[in-house]
Amino acid sequence: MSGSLMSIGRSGLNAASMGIATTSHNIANVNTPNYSREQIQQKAAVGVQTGSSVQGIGVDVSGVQRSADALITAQVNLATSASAAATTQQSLLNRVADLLTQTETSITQAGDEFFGALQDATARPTSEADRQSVLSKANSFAVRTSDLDTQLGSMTAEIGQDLQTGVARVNANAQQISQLNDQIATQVGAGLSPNDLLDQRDALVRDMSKDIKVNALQMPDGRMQLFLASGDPLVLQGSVSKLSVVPDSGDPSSYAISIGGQTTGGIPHQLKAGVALGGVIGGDLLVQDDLADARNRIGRIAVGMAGAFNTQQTLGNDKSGAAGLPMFSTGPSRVVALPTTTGRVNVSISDPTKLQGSDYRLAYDGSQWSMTRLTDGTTTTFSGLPSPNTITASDGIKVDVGAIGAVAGDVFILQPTREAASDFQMLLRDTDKLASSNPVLGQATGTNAGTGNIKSVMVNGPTRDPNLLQPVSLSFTSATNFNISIGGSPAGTGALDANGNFSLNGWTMTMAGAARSGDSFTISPTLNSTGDNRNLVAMANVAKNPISDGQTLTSLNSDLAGIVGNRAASISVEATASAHLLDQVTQQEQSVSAVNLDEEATNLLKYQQAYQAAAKAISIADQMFKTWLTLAQ
Amino acid sequence: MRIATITLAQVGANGLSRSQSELYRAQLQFASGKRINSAADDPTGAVRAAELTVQKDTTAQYARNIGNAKNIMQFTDSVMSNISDSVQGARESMLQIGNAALSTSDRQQIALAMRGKLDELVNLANTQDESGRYIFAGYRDDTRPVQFSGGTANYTGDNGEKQIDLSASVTTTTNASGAELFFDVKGGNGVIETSAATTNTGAAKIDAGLVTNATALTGDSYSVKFSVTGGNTTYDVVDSTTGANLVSGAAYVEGSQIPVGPALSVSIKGTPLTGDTFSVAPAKTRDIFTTIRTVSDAVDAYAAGTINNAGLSDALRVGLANLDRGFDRIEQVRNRFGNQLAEIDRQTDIGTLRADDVKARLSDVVDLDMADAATKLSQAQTGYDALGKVVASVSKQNLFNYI
Repeated sequence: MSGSLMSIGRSGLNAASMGIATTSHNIANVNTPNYSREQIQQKAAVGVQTGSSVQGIGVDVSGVQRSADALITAQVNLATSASAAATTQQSLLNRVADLLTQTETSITQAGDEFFGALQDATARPTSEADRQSVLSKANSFAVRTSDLDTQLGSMTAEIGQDLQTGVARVNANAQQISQLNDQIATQVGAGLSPNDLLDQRDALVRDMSKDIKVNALQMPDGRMQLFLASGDPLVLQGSVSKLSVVPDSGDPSSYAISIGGQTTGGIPHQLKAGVALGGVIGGDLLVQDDLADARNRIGRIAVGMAGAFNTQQTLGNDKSGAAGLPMFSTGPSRVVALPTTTGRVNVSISDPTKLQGSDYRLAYDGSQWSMTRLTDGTTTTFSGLPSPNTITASDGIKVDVGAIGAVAGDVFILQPTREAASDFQMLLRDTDKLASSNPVLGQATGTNAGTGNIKSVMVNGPTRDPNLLQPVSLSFTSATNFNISIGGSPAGTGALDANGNFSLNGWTMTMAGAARSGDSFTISPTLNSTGDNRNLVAMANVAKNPISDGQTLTSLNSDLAGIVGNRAASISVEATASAHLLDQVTQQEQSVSAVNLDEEATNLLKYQQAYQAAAKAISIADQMFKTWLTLAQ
Repeated sequence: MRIATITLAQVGANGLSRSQSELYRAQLQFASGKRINSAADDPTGAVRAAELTVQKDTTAQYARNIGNAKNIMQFTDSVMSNISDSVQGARESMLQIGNAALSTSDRQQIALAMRGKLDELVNLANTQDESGRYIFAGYRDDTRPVQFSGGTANYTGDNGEKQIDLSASVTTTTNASGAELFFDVKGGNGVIETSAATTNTGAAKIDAGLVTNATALTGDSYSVKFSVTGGNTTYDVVDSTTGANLVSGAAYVEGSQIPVGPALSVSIKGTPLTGDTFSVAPAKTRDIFTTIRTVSDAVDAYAAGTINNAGLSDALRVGLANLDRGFDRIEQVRNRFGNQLAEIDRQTDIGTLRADDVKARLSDVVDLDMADAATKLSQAQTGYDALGKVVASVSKQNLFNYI
């Protein structure tokens, strides 16, 4: 009788000390990340039949249970990835937006100052100081633009570094998870519940989620399989795939993630493009696209400005009366051949005013070429090549496909403006070389009877007509019709159009007032025209005129800053939202799993009391036994 | 809901850090006076601010252009005002020379004074700006534009117009070329000019001619030649361009209109002698310099007896007509300058309004609303203080304190 009382008491003592031990374990781990609080599972031991009743025999502790909810844990992991991806993008994009909008780095500001210097020079075209100022501001515009491009380029390099560290962490974590999987499977196989190992594994998955999004699959043997968002397996039973950072096969200036079986020896392959991988890695990869787009756009600005100013320089005369030389040079267009491609093509810019600032995918199927604009997916096909062996796309680019013969299946990525700004340079060093004047001037002959005068003579671009400087005289036979003589020899007749315009030899003149029969006018080279500011006015007007795809420098800049700004703004909303979500689900998870000291204190008291009570029961049994012994004496 | 101890600590820490960053931002905003200190504060606002900054700079640049244009034009206008005065002076001299009561030497004295005005005018026409550029030379502003060669003034500049943008849409011409101001000016009555041959010996004088329909003019030159036979004065009219005889031996009636061509007639007064010839021709360009010089030369010729009274008087008539055309042109150009300067003032006003508007909009986007920011700062401060107290007291609360 007292034996069973003793054993009931002992089972109570046991259960209470296990409770105290578990509570102490919980208290000890109050600040351990990802620790799941534990509770002992106790139940009444099955009693024994004594006569007509069943006598209880104490308490059984069936195990120590871990308070964890796999669903909430998965949610926290997802939220961790999403938040890390958004925060990574936010901080990078904010830096880009700062570069584009702050006075010290913005090319808008530099462009403003350049056009301002040109405007100032129109008032004093002969002033050395003003001409120098034009060249200096042109130079700082070029330097600022290429600096900005370099900054964005170095951000890409930084992203590469960040990816390397991230990938190294993921690989290390994947290895550890795989090892833990084996240990857990062994313990589960032995019927044990490896609570602390499970916690450790969850902590590793959580840590990994910061770098990249993983989907976890619980296996019945206790192992956990991990898959990337792209569907590629990262951790399977007995195999861990290794991630590595590689140059993107479609754009070697960007990085991509490649996965290859480490233990299985599978062939490494680049992760599918267009899948948001999540985490810092996913965020980094996404921002690369923004950087590439921004660099394409900055390159387009460089090419557009170079095109407009080089044309205007060529159409004007410098101080010595010679045709102006180009003012800017830009970096070359780039072609990337995909690894399987055997042919080679060259791309160049044929018309800066038509550039779209996009990359293109050029594919050859053996008979025809198809060119896809990557910003919007528009595809144009060209057949009948390689003769002629040049594709002139309506987007202002020209592709020479005859370099090394392409074969069916060849694919090229064309980046017409990506590197243009990286080597954007101002070429003029001598103020005399600034083409400030217009090479031709229209004059009325003094004896004219009418009121007509030549209001302006514009030189037509984009290149100078070889006959531009031939002296032309127009002898009017009526108010609008005239005989033309070039260099003193008759050269047919001409007439003013409805707007009073007439074009010849690469110039267009505009007549104001009314000419009379017998009047004559000359259009001849401008001589000794130091005070001629017409070409400076034309250059200053580039600010108002479209330089690329119908857009002015200002609108191209605003677009660029606007696109990055909007991306930064929306990612900032996303970052706030995902951080909030992460807080929420983390609290939920903690609500389930983490330790509450008050609760543990209560438990401690509870188990202490149970312990004291059980001890009392044993002591009473002991007294009963002694009493019985006394009776037996 | 069950709250884990770590949650309490984290919520507190997160709250404190959020509250601290709010405080930091508010302080930064106060320090800079700007609401947007980096694109992170408000990316779209930062882009808008960059756009508005461009507009602000552009408006400031146009204001500078306006200042440049105004300086140049006001200087040019003041020179033109002097030119106008000198031309008036020369004109008065011409009128005085015409006074029949004056002696030849008096006339020569006045002619000398007129030569002085001419020198003054040539100097004014060759005015240079502060950087040594000739302001009336068109684009060839490093060449002295007006020079005499013999008795004729030559213009070596061109008709170039220097333009400056006053706004994105308004452009103004800031200069007047010598061609416009002095040389591309028609003499006579602006359409035709008449003159007596210097070899005339009679006392007849021709008037300026009468054009009844300018569009009917052929552009030919004509001459009227007199012959006196037995007291009868007759004249012939010849189209000197074609050589055709238009009128032969018509009787001369003093002061009557003599038709010389389509829509064109002249009136001759006084007594012509045989061989006296008068010509009518489309007006040629006559610059004021040569005009004054020619009159002055005529006074010398008169003094030397090379031309008679009628010859001098014709020279004065032609000179005055040409000088008046020249004066008209100078006033026209000054009038253009006046209108342009008025337009410049208008553009200045518009520019100022636009600059104010852009500034206000930029300020709306970037500048800090002090009252609002102060409220926010004090809210952030209160929040931070309260949260700090809560965190401190919550972390103290623990059942273990009681067991």
